[in-house]
Amino acid sequence: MKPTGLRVPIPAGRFAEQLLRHDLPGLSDERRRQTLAFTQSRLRVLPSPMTVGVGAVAMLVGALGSVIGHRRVAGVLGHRALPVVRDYVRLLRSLSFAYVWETWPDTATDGSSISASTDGASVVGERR
Amino acid sequence: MRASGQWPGDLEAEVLVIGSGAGGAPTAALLAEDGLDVLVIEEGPWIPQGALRPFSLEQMEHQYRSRGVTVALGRPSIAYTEGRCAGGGSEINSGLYWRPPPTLLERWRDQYGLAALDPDGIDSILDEVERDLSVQLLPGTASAPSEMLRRGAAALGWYHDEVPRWMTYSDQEPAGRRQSMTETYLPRAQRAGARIVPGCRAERIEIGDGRARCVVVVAAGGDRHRIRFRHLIVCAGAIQTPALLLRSGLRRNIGRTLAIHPTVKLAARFDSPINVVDDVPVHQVKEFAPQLSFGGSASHPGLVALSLADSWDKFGDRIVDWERMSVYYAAITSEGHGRVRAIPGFTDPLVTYRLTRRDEALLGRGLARLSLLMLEAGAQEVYPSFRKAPVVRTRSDVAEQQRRFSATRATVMTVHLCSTVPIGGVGDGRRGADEWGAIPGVSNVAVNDASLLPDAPGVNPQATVMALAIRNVRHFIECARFRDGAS
Repeated sequence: MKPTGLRVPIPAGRFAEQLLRHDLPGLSDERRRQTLAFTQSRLRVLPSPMTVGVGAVAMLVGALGSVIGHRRVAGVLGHRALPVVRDYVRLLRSLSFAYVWETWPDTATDGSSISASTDGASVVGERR
Repeated sequence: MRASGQWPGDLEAEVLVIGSGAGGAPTAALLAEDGLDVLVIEEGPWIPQGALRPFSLEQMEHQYRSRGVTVALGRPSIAYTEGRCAGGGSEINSGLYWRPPPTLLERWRDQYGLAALDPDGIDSILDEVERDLSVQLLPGTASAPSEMLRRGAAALGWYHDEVPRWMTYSDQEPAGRRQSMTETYLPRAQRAGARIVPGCRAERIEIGDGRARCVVVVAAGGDRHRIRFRHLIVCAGAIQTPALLLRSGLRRNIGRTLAIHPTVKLAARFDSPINVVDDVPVHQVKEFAPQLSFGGSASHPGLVALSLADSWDKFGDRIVDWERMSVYYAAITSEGHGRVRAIPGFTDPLVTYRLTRRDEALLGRGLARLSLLMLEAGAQEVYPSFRKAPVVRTRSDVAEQQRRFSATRATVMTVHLCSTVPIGGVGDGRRGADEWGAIPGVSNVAVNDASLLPDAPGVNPQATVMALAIRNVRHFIECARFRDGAS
């Protein structure tokens, strides 16, 4: 069998969005959109065995969200480190936080912009 | 060299080198300079040193495997990084240079039956490497995060030192220019006639009658091609080298002995701005080496946020102070072990790693000592990177931190991977390659990268990898192995 890369989208969208809303409620819609796009782009290129594992957990969490609500699931999983799922939450959170604060270092703890006028600009780049 | 994406037509070579990092680049340079027809294939792109901001997401996008999201599964899972570009890990690492300690080489020689491993010979090769890479100390003063490490260690009376780097410094580039493989050995290989093809992934080796016949490669566009050769040297790094051998049916002691330096982190907040977004400290603390070492990590605000993320409820409000913060690590030599497995139907290998109880305890002790070091350096607060960690302000908080620590709650990572095809003497039952990197059972295949290290060296392994690679290539040349076809 010829090895092939698994490059299927991981169904993280709704949960990732709600987790981001839960962690960083002050993040603007535009920044949230960019952050989620970044997260999805990284999930698309995970090593193929990871894609299977993360994809399975994402489907499970997604299914749970469709039953009891994604916001509720994000609220619970955002606080509780359940086995297996905690690595998924950590992965999404790590990608989001790294992107938000590298792209907009003037972000407050709740995700709001301290200077409120730098959407899309990399302040880190200007600091060099 | 050709741009990624253009397939140069039928390719064959006297020697095919797979991978262009710290093992592959010197291998290619020395063979080409000896007059051999050398072809180097590299999965990633060729990106000139300095084109991307160090340690940034942009760099991860272009020069890291899977854009930096790679994990060895286990309890806890351990995040690791691999370079995926011309020059490999040398393009993206800290550039901090450590000679292998003489006691390490002696131990390897005695423990693994490496009769031909001559510490004096390695020493003289390292002299050459240091000249070729311009290894030197910083010409000016160290950065503030580096100074904090020095200050804390000095206050505690712990052994510490500035680590030299493979860097050149000039008025145009006062922060230094990393003397990575794209700056040194790869241009040298090209000058001697070697061809380098980036954007070309080795899928498997076709083997028949005890010899490798060709390598099936996937070009950037997805097309498959075959490359023929007389000799094959695999230098794809400690994960991809065993993965390729396993996919090709070479399994004996391959991928079973992955060794790493597990690392835990913390962020320390000081009373004035110290953050440096695009460099790492040059001081390291080796009081408890080789079991335990302390140093500084890249600390752009995204990475500071990551270091706080495990206890975001408690630490998150400090992120607005990122300019006064820097990230530090405690690294251990592990007694655990990992595996690299090739799974049929999957492009990428499955990597696993299991820490021992001793490893977990050592990580906890290491992180506690690192917190103490930071307090002595003047940190107002320390934020250890594990769930339910306390904010550390005093020595008594350090004791509480150690009490609460659990490796399964921590963010554990590593940047040093090795020993997946370990060299060994004839009597060494775990050896994946002979003393010089040749793979038993197939006459014209050798490995020449970090995979060969018998175990984790306890220091940044690049110098050790390069020295062993140069030693092995010279041995092959001296034996006229390639030129005469003798195997």
